[in-house]
Amino acid sequence: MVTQTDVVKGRFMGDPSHEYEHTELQKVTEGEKSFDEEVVVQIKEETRLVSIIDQIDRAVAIVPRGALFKTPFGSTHVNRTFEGLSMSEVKKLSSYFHFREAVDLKNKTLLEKANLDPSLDFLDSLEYDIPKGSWSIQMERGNALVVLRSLLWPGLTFYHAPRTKNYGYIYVGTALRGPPGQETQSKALASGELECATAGDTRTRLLATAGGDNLQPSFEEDK
Amino acid sequence: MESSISFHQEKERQELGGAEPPGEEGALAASPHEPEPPSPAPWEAERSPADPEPRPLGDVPGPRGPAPAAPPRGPSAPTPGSPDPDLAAPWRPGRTSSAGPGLDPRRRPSEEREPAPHHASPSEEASFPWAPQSGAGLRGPWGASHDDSPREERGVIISPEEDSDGHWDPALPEPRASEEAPSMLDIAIQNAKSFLQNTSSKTGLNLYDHLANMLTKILDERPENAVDIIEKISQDVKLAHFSKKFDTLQNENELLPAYEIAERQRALFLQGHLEGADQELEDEMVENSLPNVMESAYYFEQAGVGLGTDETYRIFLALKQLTDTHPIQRCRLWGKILGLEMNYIIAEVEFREGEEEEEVEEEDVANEKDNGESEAEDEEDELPKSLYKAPQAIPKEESRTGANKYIYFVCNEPGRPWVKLPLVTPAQIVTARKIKKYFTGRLDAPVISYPPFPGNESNYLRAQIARISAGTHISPLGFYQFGEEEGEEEEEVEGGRDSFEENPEFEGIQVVDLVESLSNWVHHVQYILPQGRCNWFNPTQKNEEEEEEIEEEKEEKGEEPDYIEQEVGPPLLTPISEDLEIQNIPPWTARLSSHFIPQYAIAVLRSNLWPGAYAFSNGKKFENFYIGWGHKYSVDNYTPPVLPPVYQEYPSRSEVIEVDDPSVEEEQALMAAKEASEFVAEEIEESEEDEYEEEDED
Repeated sequence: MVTQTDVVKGRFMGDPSHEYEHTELQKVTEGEKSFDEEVVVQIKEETRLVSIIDQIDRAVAIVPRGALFKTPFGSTHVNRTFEGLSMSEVKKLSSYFHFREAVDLKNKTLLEKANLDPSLDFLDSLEYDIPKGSWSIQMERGNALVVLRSLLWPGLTFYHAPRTKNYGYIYVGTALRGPPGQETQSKALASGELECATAGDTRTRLLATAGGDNLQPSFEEDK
Repeated sequence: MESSISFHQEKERQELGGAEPPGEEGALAASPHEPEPPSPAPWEAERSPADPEPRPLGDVPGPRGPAPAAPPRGPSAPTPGSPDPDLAAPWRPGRTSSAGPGLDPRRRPSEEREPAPHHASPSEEASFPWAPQSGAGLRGPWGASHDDSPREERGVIISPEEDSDGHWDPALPEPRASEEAPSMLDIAIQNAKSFLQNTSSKTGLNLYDHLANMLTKILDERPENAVDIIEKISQDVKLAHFSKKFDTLQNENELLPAYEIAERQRALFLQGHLEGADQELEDEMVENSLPNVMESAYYFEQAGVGLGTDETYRIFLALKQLTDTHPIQRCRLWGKILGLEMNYIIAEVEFREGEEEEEVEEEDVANEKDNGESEAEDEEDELPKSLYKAPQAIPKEESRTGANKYIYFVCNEPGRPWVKLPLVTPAQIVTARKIKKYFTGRLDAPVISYPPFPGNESNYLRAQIARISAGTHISPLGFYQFGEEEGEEEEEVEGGRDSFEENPEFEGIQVVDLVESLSNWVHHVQYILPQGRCNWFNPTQKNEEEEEEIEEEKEEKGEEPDYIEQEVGPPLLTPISEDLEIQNIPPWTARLSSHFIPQYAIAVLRSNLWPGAYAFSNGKKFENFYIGWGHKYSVDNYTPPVLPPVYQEYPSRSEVIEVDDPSVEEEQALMAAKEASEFVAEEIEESEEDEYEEEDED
């Protein structure tokens, strides 16, 4: 669904039943002939909305460390004795976890794993997020409130009052994904191209070579 | 005490020795309740007199110590074969903690005998080295219940281990009651204990351990009124389970930043005399330049925009401080720009006439360059002269005009000192249009970008503020009007009229109209031309001296003077309906703040080009506000501009031809060819000489 709705760019209309039209070139084989046919795909805004919400949640929903814990049986529970992060922890990115299934844990070295507490450290921490520096940590009102803002999805704000149980996040924005960092632009492109190639369909490919020199968007059409 | 304990222990040991074989029959893990008539008897006899004393049941090997929950299990130990009705007695409330020590060792024997079925784990032993006072309370109910109806309890309480006990017979004969009552008690206690040891399915803890931990902690720390804070202690013990233990260093300075900011903001709340000269200043200021921030905040809140009452009030006070310390004619809260490390709160002010501080004039770089070039021309003729002529830097606009119409003050947080931002130059605006960087929150941070930004973060901030103001500051149509004296129509001032004044006869526009039609709103900030200024500056117009020089140069080179078209932009007070769309998205989104109560609703406009810019109006009043990251909206992600192509060092002319160096093979081939040709040439010469000779001879 994500790939489908990602083709629609621009702002949301505000009407869930609004339909975006997107023309795609699809290879249609009829008998021995194969030609490209323009297909107009209709995507409803509510689908797009659902997909964006899911993307945002997956990418930048966070919880503080210790708020959830995992039993040996595998189920996750809210930690009723979570009293908030301490002041020394509150400014570190490693005290916050992504609220989604962990993807990075297996890749950690044994040394790193030794320092982890399996009941608490079972989610990805923000420390190794790509792009680096995509989180801004600020203290408000002296030290009474810590606010994390995501630069990957500008508009996502996470707050937490240290030493209390209050924490939460909210997204207010235009659903525009932030720019990827320099290091990851090439990766993003590579994966994007890969996607097109493996999809099997021939589509117009937007090739943009990034990297500082010779930035030129160029269009190529495959046959 | 000790002696009696040891005495009892010995007795127990003996008893246990005898109890082992019969202990096997029938009852199980909770074997404590095993009746053993012969040996218990003397035991009982001894124990009854020793009743008031605590019952050291134990085996010496067992750790002594008060056993808080041991009381319920106490009977378990002696019961192997010691149905002791009197056992119930010591368990009535009132038993001193000294009873405890014995209970623990008491347990041992039972455990030793049947460690496997016994529900208790060795961990219990370890966790129960003592018996707190509260332990007595625990025993109380148990004892009571046991006393009351051992028989019934026996039937009711079925501990898990006893399921396989076939000997449970509620209808056991009376004579055995006395013997089995304690066993009943023991069973009950054992049941209770096993219940307490139930592992929680959620957390993996069990109540038994938790209580033990808690009581350990209490006895270690001996707080006052422990009973009042028992819940807190319980919570702390649970919490301790989660924290990592190896960090023993504690941070002492944790609360300082909060105090710091509170101290600073406290100063805001202090009224009155900040400096000595304030009295006069206050008298002079007839019109209060302080804006009614709270009122605007109230309206914006209806639109869902704002910073919260708390922060807004502090900003309000900080603005008050600003207006008190500077000679300000007009002041307005412009908005808040978020940064990575810190945020900026921005105030737009207009100084009073003539009170403005002079800024150090920056030297005109262009002039220098021109001069430098002409000098170079005279001195060194040999070096090829660079044809590059830096485009003349467009001078910035004077303050109070164009993009520099207002002065901006920023602070990171209310309470911190206000810093004045420098005037903006056109070059900065032009470059700011090409880059997109997040603000860090520090005004002196460098802005590293391509194209290189001429300035640091304070300049970039100022440039963005200028752009945002020019793009999004709007007012209802008619609120401002052009002054009567301003601009004769014939003389088209380059860039249009640039000043306006409030219309005293403004009657307000219906809110509904404001929302429906965008042409009811107008920009009241001048449009910034692509050049970077509001008023067109013709770069070919230079002062006379320069003009002559440059014209001479140009004539020498045969170039024509550049004709630069005057850039025009929409004039002041154009309605926003003329704003360009961005890819089919309207530039502004207007809505009423409330559909249900339209009579008190306000019109809210949100900019789609600069996300974060809002404007509201209730018909008569209006206000603009910005809160955001300070960037323009772009559908595609930002990509830095392409680097320009590398310049040619000099054009290839006839004298100087640029070719690649020959490679080694080419050189060798050339050499070989050369030698060959030389050889041939020699031969020809020789032959020619021969010929000549021949001819001469002839």
